[in-house]
Amino acid sequence: MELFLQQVFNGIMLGSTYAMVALGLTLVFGILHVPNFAHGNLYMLGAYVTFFLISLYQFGFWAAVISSMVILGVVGMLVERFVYRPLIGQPHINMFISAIGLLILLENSVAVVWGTSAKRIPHPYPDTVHLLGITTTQQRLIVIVAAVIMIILLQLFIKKTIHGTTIEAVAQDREGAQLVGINVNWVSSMTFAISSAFAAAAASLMAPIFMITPTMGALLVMKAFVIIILGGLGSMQGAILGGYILGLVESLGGGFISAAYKDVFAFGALVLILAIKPTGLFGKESN
Amino acid sequence: MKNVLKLGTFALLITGLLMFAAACGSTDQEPKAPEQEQADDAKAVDKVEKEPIEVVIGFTGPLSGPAAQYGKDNVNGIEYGIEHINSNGGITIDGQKYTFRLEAMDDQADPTQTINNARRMRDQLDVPAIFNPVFTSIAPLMDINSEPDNEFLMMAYSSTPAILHLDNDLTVRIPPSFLIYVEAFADIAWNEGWRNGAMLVTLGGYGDEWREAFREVWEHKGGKIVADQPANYYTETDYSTQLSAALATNPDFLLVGGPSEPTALVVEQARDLGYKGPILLVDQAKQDHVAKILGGTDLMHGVMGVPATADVGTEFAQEFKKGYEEKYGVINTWEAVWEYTAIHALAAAMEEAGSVDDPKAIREAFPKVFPLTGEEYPAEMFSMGPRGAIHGFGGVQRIDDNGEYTTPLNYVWWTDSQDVLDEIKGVSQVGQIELMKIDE
Repeated sequence: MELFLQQVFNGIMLGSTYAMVALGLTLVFGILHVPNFAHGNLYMLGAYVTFFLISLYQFGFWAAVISSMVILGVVGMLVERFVYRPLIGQPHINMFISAIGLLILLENSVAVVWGTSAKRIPHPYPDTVHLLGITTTQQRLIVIVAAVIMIILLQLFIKKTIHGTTIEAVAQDREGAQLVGINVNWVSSMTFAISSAFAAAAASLMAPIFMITPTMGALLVMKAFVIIILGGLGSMQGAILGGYILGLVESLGGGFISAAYKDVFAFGALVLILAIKPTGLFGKESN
Repeated sequence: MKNVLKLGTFALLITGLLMFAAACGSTDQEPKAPEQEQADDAKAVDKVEKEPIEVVIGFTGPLSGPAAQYGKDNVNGIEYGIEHINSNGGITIDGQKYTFRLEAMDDQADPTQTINNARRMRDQLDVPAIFNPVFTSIAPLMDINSEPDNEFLMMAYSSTPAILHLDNDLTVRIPPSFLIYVEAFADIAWNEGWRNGAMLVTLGGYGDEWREAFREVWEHKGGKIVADQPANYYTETDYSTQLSAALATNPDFLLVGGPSEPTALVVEQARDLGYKGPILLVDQAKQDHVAKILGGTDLMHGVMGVPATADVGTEFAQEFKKGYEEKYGVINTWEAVWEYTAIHALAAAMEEAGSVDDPKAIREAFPKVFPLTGEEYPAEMFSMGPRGAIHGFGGVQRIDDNGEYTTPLNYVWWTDSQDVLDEIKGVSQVGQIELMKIDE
């Protein structure tokens, strides 16, 4: 039983980051139909910015996380403005290509600036905690709590504020939204900023537990795509639930069956769910 | 929605392709063709002026990703050795001077990319020898290093005994066999009264062999392996899934390891999960390096593994450590120590063979260059076995309950002859030497 709880806890922590990254991706991909492959690299960049602020300017951990979110928010807006906006209305393949270009650019720039070897951010909260028979660190608890808070705040923002509802409006009908006076370009910028800031937050929260490398986003973005397809494209609830499902599948499958096949379980779950429900968990039949 | 779904599937496909492409496409730099031309030009002119000729030595290994530092430690060691050889005037064969240059390429520990790099270096740079530090890459390299007219000497930095079973005449295995650590760990653990062991060793050829070998020796003694939860140290950074499963079996000790950086994470995460018992590190992980990453030995009470390079015990070791750490700004590891000594052995073998470009002759001359001892080298090498294994000490060092390093024990593993041991004690600068014959 203890082992089960321990694995559930591990799965929830993994799932929290997956959910945050997938939420950002579903916002830009599902809602604005931009296949942002570079999302994992924005995640990676977020971790490096946090590392940079802490190691070079002696920022406190939280100050660095928030600054990193702001900086990545701005980077996200620039990416939208200069990489994707010029391609709106053109064949999808163009956006694919520029997304790949951006991915390579980001990964290699980071490798040039910070080097390819792994970096570590010192643990801000290294103490261990005992809870319900499981042992963990404060940092891991913080990841879970912070992720939940941010996910709730984002939901409230989108459902309850005027700026948030414009995102949904643009998602439903870009031209219709324009007709009622919504500044579509501004909404796109804002969506990218939120998406990138979320990736930065997830990466920064995880950074003290793991190591940061220029390639850390590669497998993650793949998993994020799995999650948003699994959850139903464009569905925020789907991305959140999908993230936690994937985290749990990996940790329970890895812990109880075989750790060597962790990723097999994750991608196997995708195949299974799509076979049963081709539109994903929260996907609509057609629009 | 259906279109969007199609788009999503396509996106997934592209991402996969992309990761593949990224893995294949990232080499450090293009081969330096102009320099090669210069070298060729030089060859022509040298006949008259006797200007030194530059010999390019190849390296392919992980220079990005989680194992990047491991790869770099190897590169640094070779480079530092080459710098030293060149500053002493290189080597001389028939009155012609030769100097060396290292061409290091990144393969992210991906065997396909390793082969591509090796072929490129062989074709375009005519390298006589290629260094590689990952067993899963070394094995395919040993498949191609005897192709007629494309031979190269495989300088294998892996302690895997399987290298010797591959029956390859152009291979030199640099570090001692990990079977020494398997035997020594099992002995020490057994004498401590530990009976239940849990393993969380890296996946891949090297780790798989380690786990198998340890299980065999341990179960032969009567001990039990209560959990075997391998993880891919080259790609993963979260080991809590495997650790939780392993620790749930209440083991007396943990056997973990892969490259030092991820190993440090495993040690830290094991302590985070409340494990206070002993941790045995496989030889790829270096405890002094792990300690540096973890900011000290606080989490490492009861850890044992390969001795810290500061405690090697040779005259030159301290000087080497100081110079190396000053130059590269990273901790001096055994990779650097062995590779530094190995490139010297390679240069000496070339001189002995009278050739810088005939891998067969160089390999045949190799056994004649030993011993290399502690006055001039950080690690000592005494002889070479029939399958190309260099004979140097394997040692074990423990960290006690106060976090202090104890004096390392060194094993002579290639013989059970007391005479050879006495002979080695005569030339070696290292103390605490014991016999422990292993069968490879």
